Amino acid sequence: MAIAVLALLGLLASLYLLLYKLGVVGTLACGGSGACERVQLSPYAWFLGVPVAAYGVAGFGALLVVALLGLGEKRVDRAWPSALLAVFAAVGVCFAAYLTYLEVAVIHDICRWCALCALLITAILVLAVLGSRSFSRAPAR
Amino acid sequence: MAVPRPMKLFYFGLGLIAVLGAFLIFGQSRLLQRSRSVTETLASAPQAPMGNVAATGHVLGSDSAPVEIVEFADFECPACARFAILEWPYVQERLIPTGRLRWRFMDFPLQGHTNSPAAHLAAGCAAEQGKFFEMMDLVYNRQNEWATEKRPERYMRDYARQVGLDLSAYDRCVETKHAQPGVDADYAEGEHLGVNETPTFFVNGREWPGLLVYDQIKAIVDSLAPEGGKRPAATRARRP
Repeated sequence: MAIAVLALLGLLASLYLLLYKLGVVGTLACGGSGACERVQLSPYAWFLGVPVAAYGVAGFGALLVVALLGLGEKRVDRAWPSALLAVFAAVGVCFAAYLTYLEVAVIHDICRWCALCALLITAILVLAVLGSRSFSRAPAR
Repeated sequence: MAVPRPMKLFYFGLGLIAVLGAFLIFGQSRLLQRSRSVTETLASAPQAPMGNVAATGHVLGSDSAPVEIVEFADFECPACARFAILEWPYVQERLIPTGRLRWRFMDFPLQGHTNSPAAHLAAGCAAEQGKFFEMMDLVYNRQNEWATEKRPERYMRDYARQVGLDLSAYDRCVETKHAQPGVDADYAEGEHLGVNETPTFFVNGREWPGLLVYDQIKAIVDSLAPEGGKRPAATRARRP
């Protein structure tokens, strides 16, 4: 349940950044520092020709779908949703770590919305790993 | 199969977060304003106290056009670039030549956009050679190229060359910041009018609440200056 909520929050934050990148949202709410806009306008806000925020939307969207599927009555005692969430979240954490490195070491600005997404994906990974471990420790059914 | 009560509450809460989040995001996007009619929107907008004579902006269109749209914009702002790339070409080709619409671009480089001042100065220098709007198009189209570069001036000079400016005059203008007072005057006028984001539009002195797309601009012009009325010849002007 917690993973689904975190994934939804991540999806909304990524969607906000994507809409800004597409020019639909005029100004980012970022405390007036301009840091979010500088990060979003940098060449690193694109990855393989696609806005980085779009990967966030897709990633958090996928996590949300898997988390909701895992909550279904038939799948709630299955291990695979937690394992799949852990794999997705691990990929997401690696990507977020790369982006955070770029913000700190290359762009020299921290975008609060990106930092929020990084925190959310890390929290999802922790919860998914804990969930997977609880299944592996449980007696075989 | 019935869903247990705690799960129902959970799904309800999740849905609530989704709706609230979507409302906050799309509320800020300002695109929701499209649903209201042009006349309703304009009628409810307050008249802006414009009048700084030094803030002339950059003008395209007939002096006697019955509709004037003033745009406060920042070259580094993605929403401004989106408007310039997707909507502006239609405005320029289909509405301004009819003599019913005059467009006034006002420089409003936002604080925090560190490369924007260089772009506005460069465009101001292009204006001195009568090529502001050509420079504007290039600067917006190449926004991703220069917006985070350490030396945007290098890119601006290249754009100046591409639009066919006299480079020695351009260099002199940039070096002496000859066009800067015009940029500053526009910015001061924007502050005076309470502009705090870009792009911000004023239609015949009334602030338009949100972004504009070509269809809306056409509807505004059609409602304020119907086709078939007097059509003055289209001319173009620039900052003196």
